[in-house]
Amino acid sequence: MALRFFWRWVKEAIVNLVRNLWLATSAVGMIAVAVFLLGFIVLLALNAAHFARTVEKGLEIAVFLKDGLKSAEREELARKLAQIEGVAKVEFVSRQEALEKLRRELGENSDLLRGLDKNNPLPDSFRLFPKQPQLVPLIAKEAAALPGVEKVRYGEGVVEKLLRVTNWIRWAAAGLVLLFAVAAVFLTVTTIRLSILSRGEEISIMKLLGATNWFVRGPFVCEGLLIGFLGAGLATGFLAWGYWSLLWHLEETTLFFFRPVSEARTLITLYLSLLFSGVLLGGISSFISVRRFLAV
Amino acid sequence: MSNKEKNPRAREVVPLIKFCNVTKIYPNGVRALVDVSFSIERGEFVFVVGPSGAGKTTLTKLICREELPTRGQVLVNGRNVARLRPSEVANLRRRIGMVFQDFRLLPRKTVFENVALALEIAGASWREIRKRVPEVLARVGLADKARCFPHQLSGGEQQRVAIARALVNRPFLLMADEPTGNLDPQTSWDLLQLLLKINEEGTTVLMVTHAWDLVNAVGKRVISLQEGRLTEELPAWGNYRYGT
Ligand SMILES: Nc1ncnc2c1ncn2[C@@H]1O[C@H](COP(=O)(O)OP(=O)(O)OP(=O)(O)O)[C@@H](O)[C@H]1O
Ligand SMILES: [Mg+2]
Repeated sequence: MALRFFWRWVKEAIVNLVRNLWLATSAVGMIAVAVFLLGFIVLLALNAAHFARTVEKGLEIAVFLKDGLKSAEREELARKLAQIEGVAKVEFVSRQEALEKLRRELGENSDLLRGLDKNNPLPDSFRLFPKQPQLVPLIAKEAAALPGVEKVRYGEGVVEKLLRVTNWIRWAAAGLVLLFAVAAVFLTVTTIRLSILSRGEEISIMKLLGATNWFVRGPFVCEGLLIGFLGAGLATGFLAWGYWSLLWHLEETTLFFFRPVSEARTLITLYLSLLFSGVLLGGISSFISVRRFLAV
Repeated sequence: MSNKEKNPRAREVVPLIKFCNVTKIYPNGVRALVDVSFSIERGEFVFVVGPSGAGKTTLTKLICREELPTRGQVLVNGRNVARLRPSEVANLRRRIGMVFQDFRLLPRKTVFENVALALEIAGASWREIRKRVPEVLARVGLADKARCFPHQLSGGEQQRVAIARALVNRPFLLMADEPTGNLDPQTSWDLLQLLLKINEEGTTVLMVTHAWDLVNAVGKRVISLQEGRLTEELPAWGNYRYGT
């Protein structure tokens, strides 16, 4: 019995779609546009957040040591630094290594450093990596207070500004996603409501013939699910294809210092969620839109 | 209806339809029925007559609970329709065959599908539908129009589709609101014969009509409405000539 009703729903839904092809096509198109825009914005937001994270990951603190520190004192300091809250990793950089690094960075101009090998002016130092970028100023302050520390450098002022920018990027991305999600929901609900509006008369006739609410509602909900599936499927397909070819092109031109989000799991999760939301939204919109006609 | 199951004697005791001082005032203030009382027994054939706007359609709407009475009670099978639960209302409507004055066919469904819908709603199997729909379409003379859509039919043909849909479930009560309104005299007469036959098979029939020749020809009970009031009610005692 239940199975037979279910088949009737599906059959009715498909017959309705075919008989109202124009209406169905425009509904699918509208939902496709809504889902595509939403997906596009989500991808943008994901990349913005990824960018912010990449920038923040580069943050570190340089702790320069006083000259002539004994190795026991140095180890003691390393231990204390590692104990500061929020420090993920402590790395020792000897004065020779520091010079090497400087030389590498200067490249062609490394001649400037000639002769400094014997008289290296650079101090020994520790590199501290924070667990969270926001902790950088705090860690720096604590490190500066430890014995044997000459001075602490972390790009004061710049870091705070940078963190403000990355935070702003995150909020803006989240806000944009929310905005577009709401717009997509409204667009879908309205589209489906309009497609059902013209059939309010049919619904009341069925009720007068003794149909139960679910008898009437079933085909409409199936139809909504189907329209949602087609629309969201179309949109997700385009989006996946578009983003994939973008990644492909960027791979060839290593123009960006930052690589866009390309983790398969993240992307597939996104595409599936978009598809699922579209289907669900289609069904729910139908459910809601039919309700007002059922009171006969 | 569940009364019938609970109490087997209810079938004999309770009239099929009973109006107790029913007044219907529409939200816009129109008084469509005023203090109407009557009852219809099982197996009766009743005409409802009266001028346009007298409240005839309203009377049928109250029976299938499309509208609720403002005052008074409408009892079907001894049960107050205003008190029925939604599932009971659906059940009641499935067992009443209703021919609406404006047909109310689904425009996007074929003739076959329109008639089949009533069976589907009643939970009939596909095999049953395949058997019963052609039968009933043949009965109203539309066997060859099964695949047409309503807008491809004449007014009279649409009306007969509506009648087929009302008959297909073998209802215990058939209400036909001016079922001959769009039919030529010969087809009207054939239709009346069909309704009489169905009545003989045990279905109670309530027919709203303006066709005096039909009313006079068969000598059945007549309920007459005038500006929402029941003006005369005559038993089936032979030819009754309206207005004489
Ligand atoms: N839904 C409604 N809302 C408001 N007034 C209504 C409604 N339906 C009917 N009426 C009014 O109620 C009165 C009775 O209407 P009804 O349809 O019952 O008449 P009728 O006897 O069937 O007439 P006809 O022979 O023309 O079909 C009319 O005055 C009509 O205008
Ligand atoms: Mg009427």
